[in-house]
Amino acid sequence: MMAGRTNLADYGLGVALVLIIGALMVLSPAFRDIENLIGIGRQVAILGIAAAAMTFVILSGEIDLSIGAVASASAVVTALALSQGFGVLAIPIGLLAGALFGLLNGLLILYIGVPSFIATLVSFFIAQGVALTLTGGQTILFDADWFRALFATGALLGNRAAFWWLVAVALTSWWLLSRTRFGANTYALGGDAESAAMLGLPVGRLRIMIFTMTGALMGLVGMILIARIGNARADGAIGLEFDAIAAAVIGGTRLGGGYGSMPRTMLGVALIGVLNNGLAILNVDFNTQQVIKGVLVIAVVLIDRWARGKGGTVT
Amino acid sequence: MLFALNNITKRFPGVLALDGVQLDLRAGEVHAVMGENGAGKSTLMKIAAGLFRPDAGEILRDGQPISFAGPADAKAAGIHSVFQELTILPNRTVAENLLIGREPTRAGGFWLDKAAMRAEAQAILDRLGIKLDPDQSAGTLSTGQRQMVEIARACAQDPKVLILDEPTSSLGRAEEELLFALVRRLRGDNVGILYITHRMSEVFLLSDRITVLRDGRYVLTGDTATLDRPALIRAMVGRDVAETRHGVDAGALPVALDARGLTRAPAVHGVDLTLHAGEVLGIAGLMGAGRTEIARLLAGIDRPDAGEMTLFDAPYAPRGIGDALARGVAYVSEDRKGLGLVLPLSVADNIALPSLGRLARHGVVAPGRIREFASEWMGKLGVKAANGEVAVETLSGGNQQKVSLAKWLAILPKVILLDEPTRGVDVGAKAEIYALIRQMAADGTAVLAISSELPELMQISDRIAVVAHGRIAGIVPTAGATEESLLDLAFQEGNAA
Repeated sequence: MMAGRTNLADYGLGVALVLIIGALMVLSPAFRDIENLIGIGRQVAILGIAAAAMTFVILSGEIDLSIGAVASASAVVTALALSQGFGVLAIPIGLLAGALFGLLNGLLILYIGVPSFIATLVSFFIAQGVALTLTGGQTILFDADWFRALFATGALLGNRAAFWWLVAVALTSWWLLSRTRFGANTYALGGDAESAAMLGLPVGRLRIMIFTMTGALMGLVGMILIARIGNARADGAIGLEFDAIAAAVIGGTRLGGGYGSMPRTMLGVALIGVLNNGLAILNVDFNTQQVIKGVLVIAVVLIDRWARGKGGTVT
Repeated sequence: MLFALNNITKRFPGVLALDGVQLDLRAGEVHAVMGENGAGKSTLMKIAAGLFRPDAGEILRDGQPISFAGPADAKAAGIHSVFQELTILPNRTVAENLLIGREPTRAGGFWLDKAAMRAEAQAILDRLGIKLDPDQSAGTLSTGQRQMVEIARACAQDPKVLILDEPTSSLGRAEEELLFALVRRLRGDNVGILYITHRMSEVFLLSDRITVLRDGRYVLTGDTATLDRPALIRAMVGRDVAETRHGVDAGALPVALDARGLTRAPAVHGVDLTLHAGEVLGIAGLMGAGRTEIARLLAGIDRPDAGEMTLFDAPYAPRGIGDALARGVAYVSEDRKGLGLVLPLSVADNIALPSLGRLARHGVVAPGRIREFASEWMGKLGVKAANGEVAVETLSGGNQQKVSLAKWLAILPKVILLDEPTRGVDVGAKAEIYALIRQMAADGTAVLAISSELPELMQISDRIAVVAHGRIAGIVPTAGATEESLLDLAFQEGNAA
C-alpha cells in the first residue's frame, strides 16, 4: 500500500499471527489437521467480506452500524424469493435489497446531513423491522440445492464456495482500493474531507457509492449465510458489524479514516478466525472467546500506536 | 479580458463580506489584490475559484458569463488556486497529492498506472526545481514543503488563471525564489495570476497591477508603476480614525506580566513584552504574524522554546492553562465556539464553569449558588438573556462574547488576555465590550487585547504593540499612533520565514 507503507506495525500483525498459529499447532493436534486449517478459510468468509466492506467505510472516515441488520434483511428477501420460485432472479433481488439499504445510508448522510453513526443506526432499525415483518418471526425455509452449492457448500480446489467468494471480494477490494481512482479518492476523503471537497473530488457521489457497495456486499453475505444453513431468520447476522469493525481495527485501519489497507484487514480477519477456531478446539468456551477478542483489539491498537512511534492517537 | 468579476456581492450570516466588488485580470499579468484583514480578499478569491457562490454579480471568462457549482467547474475553466488552508492530504504520497483527481490510468481509465504516476510527479517536481521524493508521505512534509506541493499541483494543471493566496507565508528564502521565478515564467506563458500578499515588497517586485479592497468594497485598481507604498496604505486604511484615545502612563503602573526573549518556533521569535496592572495593551499585526501564538505562551497553553517570564516579579513558567489560571492569568480565546463556551449548556453553567471549585462545598455545588453567582455576573456585564437557564447557543454573538468574558472575569483574574474580543459582534455590542475592557483596566486588571481591527485597538488600548513575523516591530502609545503608522510597522519586512 502506498499510504500504509511497510512499517513495524505491518510485520507485527503478521508475526502475531504466525506465533499464534505456531502455539496452537503445538498445543492441539486437531488444530494442525489440514482439514481444520482449510476449514478456517470458510469459517471467516462472512466476517471477511463484511470486514472488506467496513474497511472502505472506515477508510472514508465513516462507520456503518447497519451491516448485520442489512445482511439479515437481504438474506430474508433472498430466501423468500427462492421459496416463491424466483429461481436465479433471487440473486439480483437479494443484492438489490442490500444495495438499497446502503443507498439509504448514503442519502441520509448526504442530504439529511446526519453523521454516519446516526444514519446507519436508522438503517439498522429499519432493516431489522423489515426483516421481522417479512418473516413474521418465523424461519424461512427454501429448497434450492444449486443456490446452496453456489454460495456455500460447493467445493472447488479443496475448499468450499464460501471461501472462494471471500477470495474474490478481497482481491477485488484490494484492487479497487490500491489501483483505481475510486480507491485513491476514498483515501483522500478519509484523509481530509474538506480538502477533498476543495480539490473538486466527487465526495458526495463517493460516499453514496461506498455505502451502496457495502449494502450490496451485505446482500452477498446474506446469501452465503442462508446457503450455509438452508434457511433464513430475521436476526441471522446481527452483531456482524462489531466483528467487522474489530477485524478492520485489528488490521490497523484508523477509525478517523484515511489509514489502512485491504491486506492488513484480511490479516485481522485471519487473526480472529484462527483464534476463534483454535480456542474452540482447545475447549475454551464462547464467552471467554469474546473476552479474548476484546483484549486482542486493545492490544493490537496499543502495539500499533507503539510501532508508529510517538505522535498522536491511532483511532 | 481573460477573467473578470463584476459587481460581486457576498453575504455571510450577519456580515456583508463583499459589496459590489469588481476585479479584472488580463492574460500575462500578475495582479496583486490588497487590503487589510477582513477586507474581503480571500472571499473574493474563493468565489473566483468556485468555492463560494456569489449572491449577486457576474463572472466572465474570456468575456463569456460563467457560473461555478463547485471547484471542479472552475478547474474545468482553467482556474486553479492555492489557498492558505492547504489541501495536502497527509495520508497520501507527494505523487498522489500532485496528481489527485487526474491520475494517469491504463485499461480504459479504470486502472491507475502507478509507474507513470511516479514518473509524471517526478517530472513536475524537476520542472519546477522542487527537491522532493514523489514517494514520500505528505504527512511528513514541513509546512513550507506542503505549500510547494500545493503550488506545484496548481501549476502542473496548465492553468489559464492562477490564484495564489499568501503563497509565501510559510516559505523559506530559497523556496520563495523558486516561487517568484515560477510566477514570472507563468506570466511569460500568458497565464493571468491573482496574487494576494501582505508583503509590500512582493507586490512591487512581482505585480503589474494592483486592486485594493477595503471593508468588502472596491477601492481602486492601478498600474503598480503609478502607485507607491504610502498611496497603497492610504487606500487600504482610508477611514476616519477613532476619536477617543486612552493613555494611562504605563511607566507609573506596577508591572504585572513581563516576558523577555520569548521564542517558540516557528511563530514567535524573541518577544519582549511588559504588561502593567491597570493598562490595556493592544496587540496589532497581520493575520499569521504570531499574535495568538504569543498570547498562548503567556496563557500557558503552549510552552516557549526559550525566554523567561515573570508575574508580579515572581518567576512565571506555567505548565498548562490550569497552572496559569491558578496564578490569575486568564485567556479568552478568539475561537469562542471551539474553545470558549459550551454552547448547549446554559448561560449560568457557562459562567460558573471555571469558578466551580470556588463555589463547591465538599465537591457539591448547590444549583441555587450557581444561579445567584451567574446572575450577579450577567448583571455586571449586561448579558441580555431571558434568564440564566437559556442555552448559550441561542444568544446573539455579542451576548455570547459577554458570557465568555463574564466567565473569565468571574475568576477575578489579575491578568486577562483577550484574543479578538469583538469578533462576530455587532456595532452596538462592540461599544459595550469596549467599555467593559476599559472598566477591567480601571479596576486594576492587566489587560492584553489582540485585534485585527486597528480602530478598535486605538479605541481601547493605552499602548499598542505591533507584531510582524513573530517579533515585536514596535510598541507605541495610542495617543501618538495613526493607523498609517501602525500598518507601516505591521508591513515591516522581516527576515523570519
